[in-house]
Amino acid sequence: MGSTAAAAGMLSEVFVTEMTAAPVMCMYCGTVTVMAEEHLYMFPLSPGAVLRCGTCEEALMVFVRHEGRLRVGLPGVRWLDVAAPSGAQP
Amino acid sequence: MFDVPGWGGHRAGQHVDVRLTAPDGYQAQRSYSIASPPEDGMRVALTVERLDDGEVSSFLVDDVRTGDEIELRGPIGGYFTWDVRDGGPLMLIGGGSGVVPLMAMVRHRAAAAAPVPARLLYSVRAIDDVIYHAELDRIAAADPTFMPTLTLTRAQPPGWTGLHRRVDADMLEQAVWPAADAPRVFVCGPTPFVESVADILVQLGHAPQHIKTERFGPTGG
Repeated sequence: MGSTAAAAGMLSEVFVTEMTAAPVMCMYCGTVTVMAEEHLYMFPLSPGAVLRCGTCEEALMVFVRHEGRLRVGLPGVRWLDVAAPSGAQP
Repeated sequence: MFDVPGWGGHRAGQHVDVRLTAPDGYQAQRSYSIASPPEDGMRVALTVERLDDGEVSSFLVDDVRTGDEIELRGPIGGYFTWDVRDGGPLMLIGGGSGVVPLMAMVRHRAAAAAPVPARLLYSVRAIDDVIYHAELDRIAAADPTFMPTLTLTRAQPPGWTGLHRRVDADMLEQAVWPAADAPRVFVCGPTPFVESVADILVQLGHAPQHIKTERFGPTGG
């Protein structure tokens, strides 16, 4: 299993705000916990990287690099709660 | 120790990503916890354990010279951090190199002269593996509200009267404030160590939201 730091680094490449303290709800088991408590699996355990729910081990997020791009799948994320970016209302 | 011009400061417990680029363009990147407290300003200290097959650690330990430049990204981490204003009591539990971010918290607390009671339970294989040993003793000698405890799990020096087994439920029950005191707990080290300690603390009645964990991966390096 990967480290909390590796997960934080990967998330910082995708998301604008700091993610390790962001609560996330697992689609499969309904557990809500912060991103830092979820389990990261990286090569060679998986091609690319998979962030799995710390409770039920289903895949929350999948990261695959291809041709200079990063494909992010969010199959197991029901919701993510992040600090609201400052600025105008949507 | 790196001088980082423009460093905006950090919180104890955060880490940086270090990236090395070889002349042929090959890049390697690793994460290292910041060992220095925020009070050190634009100087960032990392404590690096040299792994025999470590691409980055062997460079940082063997080859880096004063004046060398490296690429550093951070500070990273909004969860596993402690500031004196967060209060306590503060319980730090480290396995091996997991003590590094905890030491940033110890140094921050000392620099801020904060009267927050704090304890460190530090598990290593043998006495020579203890990082910051002299500094921990010095801080404890000057401050009776800080109590470090070592447990040497594989080998002990002659005459050792301290703990000499892996962290278990009995040890945590002795070493950690009772759940009723609501200590802020930080656990860092190899993933199996961290998960085992966190599970036991929850069984002992500590609220999961007061237990923060930083996993260093399967081998803790």
